[in-house]
Amino acid sequence: MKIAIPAAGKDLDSMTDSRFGRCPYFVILDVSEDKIDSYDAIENTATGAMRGAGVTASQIVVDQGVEVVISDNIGPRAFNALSQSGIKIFIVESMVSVKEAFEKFQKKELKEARDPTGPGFSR
Amino acid sequence: MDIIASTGAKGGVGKSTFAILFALKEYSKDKKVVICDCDVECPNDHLILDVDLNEKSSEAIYQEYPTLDEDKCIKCGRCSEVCRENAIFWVKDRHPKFFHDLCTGCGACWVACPNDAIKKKKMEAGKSYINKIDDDLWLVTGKSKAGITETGPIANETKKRALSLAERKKADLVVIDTSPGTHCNVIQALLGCDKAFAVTEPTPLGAHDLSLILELLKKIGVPAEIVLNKSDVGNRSLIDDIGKRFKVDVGVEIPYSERLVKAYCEKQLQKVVDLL
Repeated sequence: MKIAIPAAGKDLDSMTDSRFGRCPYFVILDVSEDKIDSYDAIENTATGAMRGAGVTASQIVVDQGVEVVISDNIGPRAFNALSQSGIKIFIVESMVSVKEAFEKFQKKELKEARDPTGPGFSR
Repeated sequence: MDIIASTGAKGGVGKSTFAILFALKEYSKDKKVVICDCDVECPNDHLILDVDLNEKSSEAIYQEYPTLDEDKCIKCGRCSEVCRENAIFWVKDRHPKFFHDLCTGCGACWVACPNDAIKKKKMEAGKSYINKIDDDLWLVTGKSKAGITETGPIANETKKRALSLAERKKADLVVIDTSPGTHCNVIQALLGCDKAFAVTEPTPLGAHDLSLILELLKKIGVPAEIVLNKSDVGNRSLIDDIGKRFKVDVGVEIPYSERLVKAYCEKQLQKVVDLL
């Protein structure tokens, strides 16, 4: 299963980024059972979008074949796009590393998002 | 018929005040004038002129948005690919999803769709109003509906209606008041104008935003002239430098004046047209 986590950097020790649509990178974890098999980082080309970064970022994540997103925040459009594509969104507190975020998810400490967490960052 | 615009990338520098002053001054020279308020997200020329928007003359402005015929859609994702506004989200083997609040109604998706599965749907996006202020003086106001974030087409339609009124009334002059900024809605208001007054003030922000609007005017080929409001306060060399860089003159200077402020507050700008 693939998990996408918005991050400030490109590896497992990078901190998670508090924005989904406008994070600099997505660290994509390939996990089986309870461990990370491999990971990869992709650049989020939506960061500079005037509007609609959440939609483009969702498109990027979906194109990676991701099933789960772990994020601090999720805007209304990204929430809409991801949840309608059957992708599960879990909310992690800020200031943790990508690895810690995954471990919290693994221990079922994270809540699944039922609504967007805020109004987004454009305008 | 001359079509001139009062614009300027910065807000609060006196674009609307200048537009009304200029229009009233020309009107006092026996010209027939149509004022067009293209600041459709926050029109205020009617407030400055102290008139209530004429509901009887109101006419809806529509925009076209895409809507999907799911039976015809082959889930190819072409529409999502061509959308420049990030307004179409698509997942392989699923129907695309349209985000209407990001859509500008440009039509790229319905042109690109290989199976004619995207239909146009008309939705009301705003209104225009016509007020007759005096014998040969009119105000056309555009107003977007609350929640509409892409208002370029509304500014464009408002301008069209003002120009058509001006034709019918054989007006000599149309004064278009634009929104602040350099985005779609400002561009739509400026396209086709014979001249634009770039209104600014002698401050660092005023100078910075002046350079943005002059760059835009150069790009779309509209001749510019700088209007320097509150010309005797702040640092005017900032503005002169930008003017030199773009080879655009400071054609109008309006020194700070308590008379003007008072007339503005009393909604009596016609009393101070001598200040131009």
